[in-house]
This record gives sequence, C-alpha cells and structure tokens, in this order.
Amino acid sequence: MKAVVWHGPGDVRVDDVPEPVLLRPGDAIVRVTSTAICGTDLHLYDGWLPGMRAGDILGHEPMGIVEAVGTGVSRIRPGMRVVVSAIISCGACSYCRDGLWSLCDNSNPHSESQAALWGFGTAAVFGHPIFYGGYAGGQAEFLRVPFADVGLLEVPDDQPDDSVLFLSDILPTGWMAAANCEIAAGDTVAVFGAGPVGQFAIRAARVLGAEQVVAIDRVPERLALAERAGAIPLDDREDVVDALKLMTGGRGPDACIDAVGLEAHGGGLAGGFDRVRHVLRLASDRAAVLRAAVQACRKGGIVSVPGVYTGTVELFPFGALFGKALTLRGGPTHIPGLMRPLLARVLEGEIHPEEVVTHHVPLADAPDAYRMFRDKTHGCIKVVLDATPAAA
Amino acid sequence: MTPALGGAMLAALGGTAVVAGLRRRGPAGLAVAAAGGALAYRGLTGSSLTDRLVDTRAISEPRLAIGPRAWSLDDDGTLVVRRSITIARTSDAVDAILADPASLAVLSPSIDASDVASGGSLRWRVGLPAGRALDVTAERVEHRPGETVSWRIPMGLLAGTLIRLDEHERVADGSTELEGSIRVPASAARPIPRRFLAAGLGAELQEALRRMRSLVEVGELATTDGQPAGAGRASPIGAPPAFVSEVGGLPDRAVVGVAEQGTGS
Repeated sequence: MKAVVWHGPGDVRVDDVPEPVLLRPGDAIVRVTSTAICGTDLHLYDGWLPGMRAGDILGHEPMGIVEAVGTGVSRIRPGMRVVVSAIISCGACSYCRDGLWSLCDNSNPHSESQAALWGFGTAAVFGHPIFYGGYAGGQAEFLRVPFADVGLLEVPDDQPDDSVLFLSDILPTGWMAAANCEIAAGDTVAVFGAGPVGQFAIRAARVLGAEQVVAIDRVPERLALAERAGAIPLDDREDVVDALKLMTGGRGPDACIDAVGLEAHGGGLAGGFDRVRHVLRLASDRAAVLRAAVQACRKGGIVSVPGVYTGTVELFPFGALFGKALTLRGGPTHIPGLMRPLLARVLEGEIHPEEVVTHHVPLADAPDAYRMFRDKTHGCIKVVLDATPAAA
Repeated sequence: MTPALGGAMLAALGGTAVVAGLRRRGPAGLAVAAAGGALAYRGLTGSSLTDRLVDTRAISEPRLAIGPRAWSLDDDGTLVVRRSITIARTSDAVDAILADPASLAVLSPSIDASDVASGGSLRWRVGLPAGRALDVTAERVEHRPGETVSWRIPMGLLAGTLIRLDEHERVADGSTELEGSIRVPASAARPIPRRFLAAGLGAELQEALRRMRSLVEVGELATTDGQPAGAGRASPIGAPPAFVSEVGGLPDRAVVGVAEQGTGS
C-alpha cells in the first residue's frame, strides 16, 4: 500500500509499504478514505518530537471503512464508515473509566521512556514516535486500529468526509481547550494561534458562551477565517498584551488559549534566546506564546494549553502564574469521550468543521502538501489527503 | 593533619592531575584527567565518586527510617527492590492471571514462554553481552490467592533470590494494589554492583507489573510488533507474533479470527 513515510527532518515521501494485519483480538483494519495533516505532524516533520525513526508512517487524523475486525471486537463491524481517534485508549483502565482517555495506562507499549522522562506513561497516538507508542499512522491506504471498540466512531453515510473527519483530533482538541476555560457569560477568551485547532477553539468558545473571542495570529487568511467565526482578529506582531487589556476594559482576558505549542515565534530577548537554542537543537520547545498568555491573562484567570509541548521550556514566568493566581490547564485531548457528543453538534449544524479545509490533495502529493502547510503558502490552513487508491 | 587540610591537598592533587592529563591528550591523558577529577571530587566533597557509582557502601549509608524505599540493602546485605502498581479490578481478576501459566509467560520480554511450567514455575533467558544468555529458573514456593504469590531461584548466579507479589484490595474503588519485590541475598550475583543490579531488576519488575495490569484490565498487551514500516528501516519494530501467519495478509478482508494470545480474552 501507499503510505506517507518520515525519512528525516523535512523529508517525507510516499512509499510502498506492507499492508497492516490484525495483531490483537481487539484490532480492526480500516481502509482510509480521507486523512488530514495536523499541526502536530509539522512538529514531527521538522524533527522536534523526540524518537522519530526513518520509516515511521505519519498521520493521526484518518477516517474510512472498516475492512476487518479481530475476534475481540464487538461494537464495530466490517463495512462501517468510521472516524479514527488520534489517541489510542484501552477503555478499561482507571483513567479511561474516569474519562481521561489520553492518559490511558495500557495503549502505549513503549511507555517506559515517557515514565523515565515524565514520571508516568500516557496514551499512545497514531503516527507518532516510539515515545508515544510508535504506532504506524493513518496517512496510508490502510490502518490497523488497536482497541477498535473504543477508538472508532461510526458516522452517517450521508455526511461528507470533511464534515466529520476532524472528530479524529482537532475538533475535540479545540473543544477541550475551550471547555478547560470554564467560560461564563460575558467572558473574553483570547486564542493564540488561528490555525486549525485555534479555529475550533474559537468556535467552541463561542458555542460555550464567550461574549468576546480574540484570535491572535499573523497569517491574513487565518485571521479572516477566525473573523468569519465571530472572533476579533489581532496581529500577533502588535503589543498583544496591551491590545487585549484595551479590549477588556483593562482587566485582561478571562482565559487565554495557547493553540500554537512548541514552535512558537516570539520577539524580544526571550524570543531571541528561544531561537538560538532552537537553531542549535539545544531545546525542542519555544515558549513565546505560553509566556504571552500568562502575561495577558487577567488575575485569577485560566491559561489553557492544547498546543503540544514535549520537553522543558525556559524563561517561563512562573512568578506571574503564581502571583496572579492563574490556573494552567492542558494536555493531550480525551478524544474518544468527545467524538460522539461533538458528532451530535456537527449533525445539528452547530459546528461546521469543513470550513477550515482549504486544500484537498491526493495522498501521492503529500510531500508537497507538507511543505505548503508548513510554509503557509497558497492560503493553506488545512490539508485533507485523499487516500482512496484512485487518488493515491 | 586535619580533615579539611587533607581534603584541600587531595583536591589540589586531583586538580593538578586533571590539568596534566588534559595537556597530554590521548586516551592515557584522559584517564589521568578522569582519575584526577575523581580525586578532586573526593577532596572537595569528602565522598567517593566511584563508591557512589558501584560500591555498596554508598547505598548502605544511614538514612532516616521513614517510609518504604524502592530499593535498599538490609543489614545482612540482602538487596531489596520494590515496585507497585494499581490495577482497576478486584483481586479475583488478578488471581486469574497469576494462576495462568500462559499469562505469566508474557509478563517479561525475557521470559521464555515455552518454559513456564503448569505449577507456576518460571524460566527466564536473560540476554548478556557477546551473545551469551543466562538461564534462570524460579520455583513457586507460595501462593495464597488474594494475598500473595512468591517464587525462589534455587541455583545459579541469582541463587536464593525471592520474587514476591502481594495483593492489597482497595475497598474504596474496587481496585487492587499489587506490590512486587525482589530480594537478592548478599551471596548472589556478587560481581554485579548492587546499584546497577537494583536498577536492572527494578526496570524488569516495573515492566512486569505494567504488563500484568494490561492483561488484567484489557486481556491483551498492546503491541507494535509486526506493523508496517516504510523504507529506511530494515524491518518493522519487531517480528510479528506467530499467529499472524494464520491471518495472513488479509487477502479477502473479511471478518477474521485472531488466534488468542495471553489470557485469550
């Protein structure tokens, strides 16, 4: 089959690889129809997440048709049209039972490296390095899905792929980022980063009752899309903190969302420090947005972090976090628990995920699509790869 | 000579050796510099770097007797390594796995499945450098369902070592705490520094408990062995399990039966 394979930083290719087989009773094989490139894939593409190995298959936002299931699968049947959760969860451990799906105890067979670095292992993720389980990803014609009863959501046949595909990751991620803000009537939410996750955080914040949502970015088409969703656009090269104070009667946003993560661009001394360490590959994480979010947030507010961080961040203003009594929330999204309720919202017309799609590309053209998405050229906000054999 | 003066002299000597070693360059120079560094460390801190790395004295230093430790040395020189894990099931489910030889066989990557006897005895084959292997057999010496199970290694490098699992059911949420311990007598594995042995056994024990939890909670062990990988890697992460050949390449992509593994749930 064809699959998008990582060969090194900035080098992905479409290779012929063996088709997956069922390896455990709880597995299913999905024939992928659509699969998206995520901002997190760009972190992998650029080599910022540790542990990528040449030959790893990328992709964690797929959907398709179930081709085969193992004997331990009861809820999912061949022929079902399904969306695949990016997060792999067993559904049976104490964390899954408590709804903390992304903290699953049992899905990551290589969790010892996480345990060594973070104290504990967490759930595996498709198309990520061995640090996150090392599962082959979904930018391929076929995908093996462990714990299929938990990670697959059946979707109606009459819904186009674009309207349900993002239930796999970025829609739940944007939603959880906003939900973590405990939005109350009259609140202002500042969303740093108007990429795909930021776009869904903006929409979720509106649905959850925010009176004012501010979208902070520097890419015109992203800001325009955010504005169409009801957000106030703000160029991140402005003095963001002062601008946010101005928009909130001097109080500051009630909550700030960091939808950028570890590859943030920042100015000033701290930004220069980040850049030097990044260029020298002395650090994986640049905390420019995290710093700005802490600085901008009102006293007693919430900073929500859906953006990915993996290592350590320098010059983090912990004094401000403490002194302003801020609450910091984040972590990988509990996707399996959010897919079904969000599908209901999509079917009710409350959210229109297809709005963020700017490009449809055959799987074979994935290398060009990666470059376009990373460089933000051609008005690119979100790329969907067509993995059907005719397109691939 | 006062301790402070002695320490200062040792530090000065060590420092001189570091400088001399670095000037000389080459492997011999590096060795001199490293030795000088160790001397300087001892002179400045009063403790030995090498002792801390390999010797038992460093870990047998008096400590406050507060709470359990992940590893320790008893007064008689027995090394005790402990780990624990919480399984979100009652002890009945844990006991079912502990009574199943096939499940015990997959608790560690180094256990040879074919050598697990029905009586619950275990046999490991531990890989060593230069392609050598160490065979270890452990006989089950105690099994009280819902409470404890233990094995003793009767002979070989680790002779006298006791492996023990203790169950503690948590009434509050119906889960089971499983504490594993390995007790290595002073006479066993003498060539191996205790600190290194403790680290190795601790990692092995932790992985076994993690696998135990997975088998009890979901009836299978997650795996990436046998999955596809692209060009650039010589082979997939690991060889596919034996039963994959029964499934084959899914030529007709129908519902297929997967051979049961582990507990076969």
